[in-house]
Amino acid sequence: MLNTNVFAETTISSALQRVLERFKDNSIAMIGFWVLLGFVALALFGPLIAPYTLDFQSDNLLQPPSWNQSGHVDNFFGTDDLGRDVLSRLIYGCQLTFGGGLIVVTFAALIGIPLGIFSGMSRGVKSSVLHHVMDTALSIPSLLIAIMVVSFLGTGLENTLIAIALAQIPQFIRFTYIAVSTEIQKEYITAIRLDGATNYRILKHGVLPNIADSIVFQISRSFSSSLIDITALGFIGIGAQAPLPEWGAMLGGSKDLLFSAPWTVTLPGFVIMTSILSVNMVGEGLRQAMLEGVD
Amino acid sequence: MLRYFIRRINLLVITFLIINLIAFFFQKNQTIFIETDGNWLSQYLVFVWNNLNGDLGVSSITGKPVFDELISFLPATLELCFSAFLLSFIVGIPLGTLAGIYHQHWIRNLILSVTMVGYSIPVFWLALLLVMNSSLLLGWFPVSGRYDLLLEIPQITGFGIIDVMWLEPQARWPALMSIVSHLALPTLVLAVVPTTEVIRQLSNSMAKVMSENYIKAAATKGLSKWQIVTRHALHNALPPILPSLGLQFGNVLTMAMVLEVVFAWPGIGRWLISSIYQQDYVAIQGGMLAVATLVIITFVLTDLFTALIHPLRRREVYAQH
Repeated sequence: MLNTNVFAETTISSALQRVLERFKDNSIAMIGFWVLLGFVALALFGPLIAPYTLDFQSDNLLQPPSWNQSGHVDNFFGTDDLGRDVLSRLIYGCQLTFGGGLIVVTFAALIGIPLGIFSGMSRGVKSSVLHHVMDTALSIPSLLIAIMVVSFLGTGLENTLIAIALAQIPQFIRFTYIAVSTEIQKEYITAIRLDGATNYRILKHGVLPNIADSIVFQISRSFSSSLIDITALGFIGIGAQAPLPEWGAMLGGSKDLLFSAPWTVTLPGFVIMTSILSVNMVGEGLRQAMLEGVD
Repeated sequence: MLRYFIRRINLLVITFLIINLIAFFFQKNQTIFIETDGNWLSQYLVFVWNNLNGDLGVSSITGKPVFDELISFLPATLELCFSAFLLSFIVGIPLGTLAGIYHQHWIRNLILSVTMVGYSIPVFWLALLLVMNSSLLLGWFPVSGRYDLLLEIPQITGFGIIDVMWLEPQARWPALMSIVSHLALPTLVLAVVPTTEVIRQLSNSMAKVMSENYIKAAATKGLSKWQIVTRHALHNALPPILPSLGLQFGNVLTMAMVLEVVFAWPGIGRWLISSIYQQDYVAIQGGMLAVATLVIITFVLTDLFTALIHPLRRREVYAQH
């Protein structure tokens, strides 16, 4: 098509901008994105929204959810074996599980990404040693590392979060290392290196803008796996402990009520699945948006 | 190949030493290893030597050697993992191939969407749902355990399906049926983890292979799509994904450990978690060392096997370094 506008400069959008544009066109990914935002809002403002306080106990034990014949709208998701409102506990739990996952990922990313960039920019022995150590750390799944660390630190939510952060750091280092070292071998980097650019300048203007999208993708992947890890540790009883409304611990605590009060098991699990699914939908949408740019 | 072999074995040894080093620093109970004078390096070497000889110390709760306990619990977990992997290949390979062949087609989108839901489901929750629907309400499968408590199956290999052979002929069949019906539900749930991985990896690998020139050549020759896939595409799409499936073994083993809590499966996961409750540090350390070593050995073995049957893998590693 003939461009009639002579004066306007054609703006070349950066890699990240193009990925975001394609991401907006993907309706499934956008649904995931809005659900994810909803969870973030619940984690931030949960205590203001929740209908009951955390220590509230009604006299109706094991009341079914409101859509059941014998349910009541006062306790929308029903009550558990101690008469606590399931909906309120799920909303409070958002802070522990979802917020905890966010904190873990932020922490792991802040440590892992700089280390990955450092090892990706370096060459020779330093890089090779890091490469081998990372191979080691990656062959053991993050949940197993988390169980190991928890078993030595002791149970509890704080130790769980520390353990999962420690387990996620190697994933970030490894992923950033691969992204940086493939980027740095490309010819345009050689070109600016020949122009006399320092390593810092290459990193800031050459490498970082081009690996931003893959780092965002890695963050989403790491987030979904740390959500699974937090809830799994809570479920087997070595993570968050009983009265805390952490989703996995709620599920683990009510697994004996499976037959008499199935909603105390299905609802927390459904919330866990929705949160992980929304994160995965966003991650998959980002990956597709990134791949389309390559083709 | 020899160079590749040495490189991988080297990785195995270094990894083993690193894991031992971590365990060595973490250990709180100093009574495990023989009191040696001298610096920590010689203590560390004694520690590694003991571990290599299977001397993992004595559990402070049960009073039995940790190694013996491991040997009695590990087969139950491995039986679960192997059957889950088998099921995931049976289900995953056809579905992954379908998703790979029909590029940008509703079949691919459907399979990949279901896969995404599959790996977003927390497996322990799925296990509870299936127990509720198929065991408690319909009574299809037993709720928990490895076999009927009335049966007396000898512990020879530890794998129930094999141990049945040592029973008297008329007792074999009912015992086997009991074992299989107890195994069905945990296998079904655990298989979700590797199946989604097989489908995702295979569909990507298959899509890549299907765009190669030799596939076009085969199509020009007049082969049907079925012939192309079975004769040419699968042979080239399967080997590259083997190493990442080897990595999945660790994931499956960990998930099996979590599921053992739900199904009261007498495996290593339940043993380790009860050790954590009881703060039996000797048992925790021995169990973790064994599991981590097993995971890494599996990864290295699958990698070597892949290099053996798929020469391109060797080239990838040479090019990297």
